[in-house]
Amino acid sequence: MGLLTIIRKNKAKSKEMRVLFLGLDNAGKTTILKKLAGEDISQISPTLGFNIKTLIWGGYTLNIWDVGGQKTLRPYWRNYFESTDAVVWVVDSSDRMRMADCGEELRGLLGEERLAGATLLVFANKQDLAGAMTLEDIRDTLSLRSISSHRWSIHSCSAYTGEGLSPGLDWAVHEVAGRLYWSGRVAPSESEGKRQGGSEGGVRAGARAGARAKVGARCL
Amino acid sequence: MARNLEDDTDPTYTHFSHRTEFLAHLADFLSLDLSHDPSESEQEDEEGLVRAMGAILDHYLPLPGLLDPSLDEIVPPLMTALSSSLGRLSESQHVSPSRLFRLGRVINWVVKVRGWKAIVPHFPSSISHLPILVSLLSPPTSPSTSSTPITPHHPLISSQAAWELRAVLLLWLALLLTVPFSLSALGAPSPLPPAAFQIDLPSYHRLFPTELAPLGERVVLLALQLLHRPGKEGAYAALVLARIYSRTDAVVGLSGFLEWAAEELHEGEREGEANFVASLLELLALLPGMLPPKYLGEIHAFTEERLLPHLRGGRTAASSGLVRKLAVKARGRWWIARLSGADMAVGLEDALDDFMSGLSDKDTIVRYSSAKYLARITGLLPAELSEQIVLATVGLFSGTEDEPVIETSFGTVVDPGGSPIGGMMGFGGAETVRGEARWHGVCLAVAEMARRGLLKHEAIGEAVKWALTFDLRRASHSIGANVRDAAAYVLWSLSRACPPDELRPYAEDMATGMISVACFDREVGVRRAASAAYQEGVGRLGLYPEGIDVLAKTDFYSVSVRRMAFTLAAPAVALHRVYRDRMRSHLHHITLRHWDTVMRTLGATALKDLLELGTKEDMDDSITREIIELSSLDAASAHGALAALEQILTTLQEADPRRRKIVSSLSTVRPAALVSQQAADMLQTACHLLTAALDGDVIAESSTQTLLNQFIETTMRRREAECHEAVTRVFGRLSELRACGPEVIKLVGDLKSMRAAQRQSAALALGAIRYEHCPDVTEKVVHALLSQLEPEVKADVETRRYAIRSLASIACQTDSNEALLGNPDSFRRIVASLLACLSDYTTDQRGDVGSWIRVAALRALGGVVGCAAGLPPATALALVDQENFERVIAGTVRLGVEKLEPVRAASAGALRDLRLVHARAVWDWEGEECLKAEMSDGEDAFRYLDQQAWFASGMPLLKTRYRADLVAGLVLTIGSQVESVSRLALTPFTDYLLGPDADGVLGGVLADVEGLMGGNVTSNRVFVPCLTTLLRIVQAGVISRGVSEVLGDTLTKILSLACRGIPTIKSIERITASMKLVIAMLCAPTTPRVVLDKAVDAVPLFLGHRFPRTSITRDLAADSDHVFLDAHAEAMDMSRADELARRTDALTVRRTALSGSYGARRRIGRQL
Repeated sequence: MGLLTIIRKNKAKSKEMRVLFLGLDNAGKTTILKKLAGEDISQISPTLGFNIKTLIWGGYTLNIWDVGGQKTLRPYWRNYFESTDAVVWVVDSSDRMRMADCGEELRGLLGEERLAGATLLVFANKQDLAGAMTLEDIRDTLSLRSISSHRWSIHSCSAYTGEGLSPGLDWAVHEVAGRLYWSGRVAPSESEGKRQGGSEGGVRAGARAGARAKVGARCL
Repeated sequence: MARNLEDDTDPTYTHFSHRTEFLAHLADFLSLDLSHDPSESEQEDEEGLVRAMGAILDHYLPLPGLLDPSLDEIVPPLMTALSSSLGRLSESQHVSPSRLFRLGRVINWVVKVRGWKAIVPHFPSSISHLPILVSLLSPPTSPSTSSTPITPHHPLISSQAAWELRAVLLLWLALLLTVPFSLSALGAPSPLPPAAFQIDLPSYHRLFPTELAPLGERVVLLALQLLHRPGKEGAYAALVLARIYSRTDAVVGLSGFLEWAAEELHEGEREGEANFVASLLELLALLPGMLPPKYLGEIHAFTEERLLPHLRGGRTAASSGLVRKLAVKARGRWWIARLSGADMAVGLEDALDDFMSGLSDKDTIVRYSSAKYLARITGLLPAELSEQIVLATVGLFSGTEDEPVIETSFGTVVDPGGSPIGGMMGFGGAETVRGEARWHGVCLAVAEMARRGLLKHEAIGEAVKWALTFDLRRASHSIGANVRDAAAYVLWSLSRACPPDELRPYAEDMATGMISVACFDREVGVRRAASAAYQEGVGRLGLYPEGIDVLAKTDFYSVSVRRMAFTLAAPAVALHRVYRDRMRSHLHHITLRHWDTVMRTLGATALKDLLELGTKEDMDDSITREIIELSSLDAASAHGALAALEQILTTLQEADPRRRKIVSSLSTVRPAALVSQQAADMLQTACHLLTAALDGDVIAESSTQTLLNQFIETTMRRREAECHEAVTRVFGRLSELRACGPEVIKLVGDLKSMRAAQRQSAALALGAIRYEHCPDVTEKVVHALLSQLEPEVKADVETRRYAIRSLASIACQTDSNEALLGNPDSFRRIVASLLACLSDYTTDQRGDVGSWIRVAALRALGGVVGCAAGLPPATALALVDQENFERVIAGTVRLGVEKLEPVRAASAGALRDLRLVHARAVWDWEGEECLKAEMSDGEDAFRYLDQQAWFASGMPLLKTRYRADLVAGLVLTIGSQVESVSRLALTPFTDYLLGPDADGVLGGVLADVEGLMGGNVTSNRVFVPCLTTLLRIVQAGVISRGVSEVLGDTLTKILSLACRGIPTIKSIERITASMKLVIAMLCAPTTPRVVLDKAVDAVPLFLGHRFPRTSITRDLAADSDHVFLDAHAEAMDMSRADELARRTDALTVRRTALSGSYGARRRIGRQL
């Protein structure tokens, strides 16, 4: 029994997932993460390098890697002990100027061999700002529909208000769980309950329910 | 709505991507009729089908969970098929045994890959299956007859081949036993005496002191006998028992069972008990989680007082890692069940002690189990207790009280210390390599504890300290890479589970230690593990100095290739002082002392790079440290010091006093080290060091000469080519600094030494010396080296090869006025001698060693002639006249198309050299544009060229004066026995001959070949390839073109040469080649008449050859003759054709009649 077998077994037992948070700089990756973890988001400076955070979500342990926007940090994606299960690509919906760049970057990212098979969640962030691009426009600018190598979904959200974050992450977690932890997968209603216990201090349950209804209408 | 934007294409690698394929196989498999026996061919197909399904399943072994979504499509249909066959079986209808077994095999395969716990829920749980399973697994009720012996189960499922089927049935039975109704409500199976289960009456009473429901009793009885079976059968029988005894209506029977098991152990033979013991332990591991707590005591008593004492001192546990592992598991599970309910209990300490000693078991599975349960139990205990256990576990790193670990002053381990005596639980299984297993096990345990957040305060510091230590050198290897791998896992786990504040005091130590390992470990797995641990720390803790920057330089890929890790990653990280210092000491302590030479050498390079970034003090410190190591008792260490000092020297300016210090320190190398196993490496490195060190100051030092004498003399006696090269460089450097007359005289003398090694290095060294300061000895040297090339001197191949190199180098040496040092006559003699070397085809047991000479001569000629070309034309022509130049080109062309690629490469290199110096301006060079290869990167580039294109580029030479030489080279390649080599040259050759530019060339080519054959009648090395070449070009249809009387004449001559002396020739190869050529000529439709006649005349030679082995030859000859007769019947003189046909037929008839006896063949031969 090699060490890596043991680690893989442990990972499966504790229902762990590794999630990469990526995107251009100033897209709001760290803010989303802090909001999800229920931390203060009033003071966030550009992420230099990266942070690893553990979040319990829907009965799963997410090891979230918040990697800075710089290209030089790409080497982090590959690691001896773990593989990447999901990529969360955060887009600044109000940054029309760089949307094409953003698409380029995303293409390059999906070509990475070490991310093969990872689930892709695109967060169209900053939807609360005036002049934000619509979900359809972003989808087409990023030409998401031509992606065949990864399971993907795009969700609108606002890190500032917290709208849309939970449904998006729920989708990604559910998707990964469906691939990796089928038999141990928890039913949605059950996960709801567990999550409230797990991410205590997160978005208030009531507010989230309201937000969800609203976002549900906007999410394609 | 949210789903609208999702794609619905399936990525292939993240789910059960073979689903469709697998289900198709499954459908095929399920369509088979189990009531019919398959035919033999069907049998084969079905086996293939099972293997195909198994292969797909095995593919998912690493991530079996991916199968889960499809299990509902896989398992239930298989189980339906199984249950219907079982139904038929219980009604005594026919079921095909082989098909039924295969069904069992497929189900068991699924179970094996995914694990039984995930599969069983997909089994049918209808209670109606229970009686069928029970009756099939029980012995048959009908009395046995002589033709049907007693079987333990239904006869059909009792065979050895049905074990997978039985395993599946047991799993199913175990599932059905969870039925919530009382067993007595389920009816009784048809009665059988206990004897049918090999149970005698006393045992029966022991087993069932109180009455059990008949069904329960039957299940127990049938499972008991299966406990003795190996593997899964035993394990699943244990599962069945666990299920039955954990039922409220059967738990009363448990004490009886334990009583029986104890008795069985006591009475049974120890030799064959391993399976039984393993099954019992499986059962004991299952029970604690299933039984009501009040029964825990009962099984504890059995384990601790009956089973474990029974195993102690015996061979069962000592020789089986599985038994020891299961013992750990059974006890671990028991304690976890126990502690979940109550608090601290008696006996726990002993158990923990046993788990701790299990960490040093020789088998990994035992170590891992011990680590796992140790950590899990620790996690259940109150904090103050768990802290003690953690500390005690970490303490195991340092050996036992009697035999503690021994460290050097700088903290690396010299001796790992002892492990607990007697092994875990007194079972034996102690580690075989001291320290290795224990450290690995303790690392696993500590990592498990760290992962659970159990490491606190000082335990963290201790764990970190140890985790960075494990690079202990053994005689020829280090303590396992797996220990260091696991140590990195400890650090990784710590980074994940410990709050930053706890780790703060150790952060720098951890960071620098991990980076040193990530850059400088020998194994890629360990480097990557260290890199990952570092990465985790940077991301989670934010405590590591310059973490982000360093991480980018030492990521997964940067450390993947060892050389890159040493030469790129390490210097990049070392920009930061904090890492540089730690890395430097890592190099001094571990890498430069490593058992692997490559590691020491790389370490030396890395040290140089680090020192260039550091201060003068660092440099002085490193020099001092390594000088001390020079006198080490350990030769590997001393070699590391030499390598390091050599690298350091290359960075020191001339006249730096430290250079002298280093050189004089060489005298401290222990003489014994220079005859050790490391001697070749050491001497080679010492020579490099001297080469780098020699300068005006150093050479003026009186002690230097003594050192030089000592090292040069010793190195020259070594056999290794690397040593020869190294010592040569010393001479080269020395002669740049001062006149070397006495050395040269000595070297010339050494050419006559008794030692081959000394002769060889002398020959090489003479070429490295600069004769500028001692021109008067040059002639003497040239003479001595030339004489080495004379056949009568019988110099060995290596010496000759070196002599050639040296001669070329001497011939080209100039004085300060750019005038050649040697006299023109010597130059001409050197050229002549080199030309002769182009035809060296010496062979010995190593093969064509002559090729080394040819390669060396080609390179030498390229250099020497090139050097002449650089002189004024008149001088150049005086040294190499036109005639000799043409000889050079002729030889080079010939070798440029020969069959060995290195020789061709050398030839291409020589031609390139000559083009570069514009030889054409001095001499007439016909065909200069031919055989041109792009190889600006040197000769190595040649092997990447398209070789066929290379040959093609030489073909125009067929129209030049070099035709004969080209042909001489080509026949060796085209005539090669290796088909692929032959094709390289044959295709371009025939293409050219059949192409538009080949007018009139063929005649010349054939004449050349004939000439070659004529000159080599006694040399098969050339003669046979000539024959084969002719055969191949005839078969390619080249002769059909331009057939003329002239050609006919040549071909006739060739044929007579080919057949000359055939009856007396012994080489089968040659006879075959000649024969094939004759046949080919006969068969080619355009062969001129004269040639045909000649060929016909030759046929009997082969038909009647006296060699029995050539009967194949004759077969071939006879067959081919008929072909030929068809082709030529009309054109030929009919009487001759008839005659030939008659002979051939007669031969065929007689051969058949006489069935090939040797004497008969002889007679036929005479008649013909």
